[in-house]
Amino acid sequence: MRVTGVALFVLALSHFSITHFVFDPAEQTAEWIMENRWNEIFWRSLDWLMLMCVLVHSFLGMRTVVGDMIRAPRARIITMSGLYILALLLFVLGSVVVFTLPGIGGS
Amino acid sequence: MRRYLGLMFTYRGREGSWAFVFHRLSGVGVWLFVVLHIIDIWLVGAAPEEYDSLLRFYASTPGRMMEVLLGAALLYHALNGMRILIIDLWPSMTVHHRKLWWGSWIIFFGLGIPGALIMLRPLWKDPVNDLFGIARIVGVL
Repeated sequence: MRVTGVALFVLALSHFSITHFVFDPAEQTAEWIMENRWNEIFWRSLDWLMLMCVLVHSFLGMRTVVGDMIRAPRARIITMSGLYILALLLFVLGSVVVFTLPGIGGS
Repeated sequence: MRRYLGLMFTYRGREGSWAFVFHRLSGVGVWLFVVLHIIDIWLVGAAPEEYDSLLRFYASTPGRMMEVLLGAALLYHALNGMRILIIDLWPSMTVHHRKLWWGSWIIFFGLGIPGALIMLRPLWKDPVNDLFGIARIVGVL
C-alpha cells in the first residue's frame, strides 16, 4: 500500500492536474486523446503504470473496508470474490484500451 | 453495518479518528470514481461517440462540480496518506500527528481553493453552453 500510495501520489495528482488544470476537460474528446495524449509510448506506459498502481491500491483498500464491515462468512466470500473479479475485469479493460487504441507515432 | 456506522460517531478519538474516517470515506469515493473512469476510458477505444457524449456531461455544470468534489477527496486522501507515511517512517513524529493533520488541512485549502476556482471558471464564463451538456445526456436535445 505504501509503495503504490507514494507512486500514486505522484502519478494520480499529476494526472489530475494535467487533465483539469493544464487542459480543460471539455476539449479532451476521444480524438484529442488519440492524437495528443496517447500518440506517444511514454504517456501510454505512464498511464498503464498508473492503472496498475491504482488497481492494487484501491482494491487492497476496499478489501480492508469490506473485511471490516462484512463479517458473515458467506456474504464475505461473495463480496470479496466480486471485488477480485471486478479488479480483474478493470485490469483487462484498461490494458486493452491502453495497448490497442490506434494512433501510436503521431499523425 | 449499523454498528460500524454508529462507532464512527461515538468513538471519542478526536482528530485521529476523524482523520481515519475521512481517509476511508475519501478512499471509497475515489475508488467508485476509478471504477467508472476505467470503463469510460475503455469507451474511447470501443465506442468513441459514447465517450464524447459522456464527456459533454463531465464538462457541464454539475459535472464540473462533481469533479471538484472528486479532487477534494483525492487531495485529502493523498495528504493524509503522506501523513501516515511520515509517521510510519519516522515513528518519533507520532506525537505530532495532530499537527501534521492540521498541516495537511492548510495544504488542502491552499491547493484546493485555487484548484476549485480554476476548475469552476468555465461556469461563470460560459454558463449557457454547460446546461446543454446535461440536456444532451438526458436526451432532451
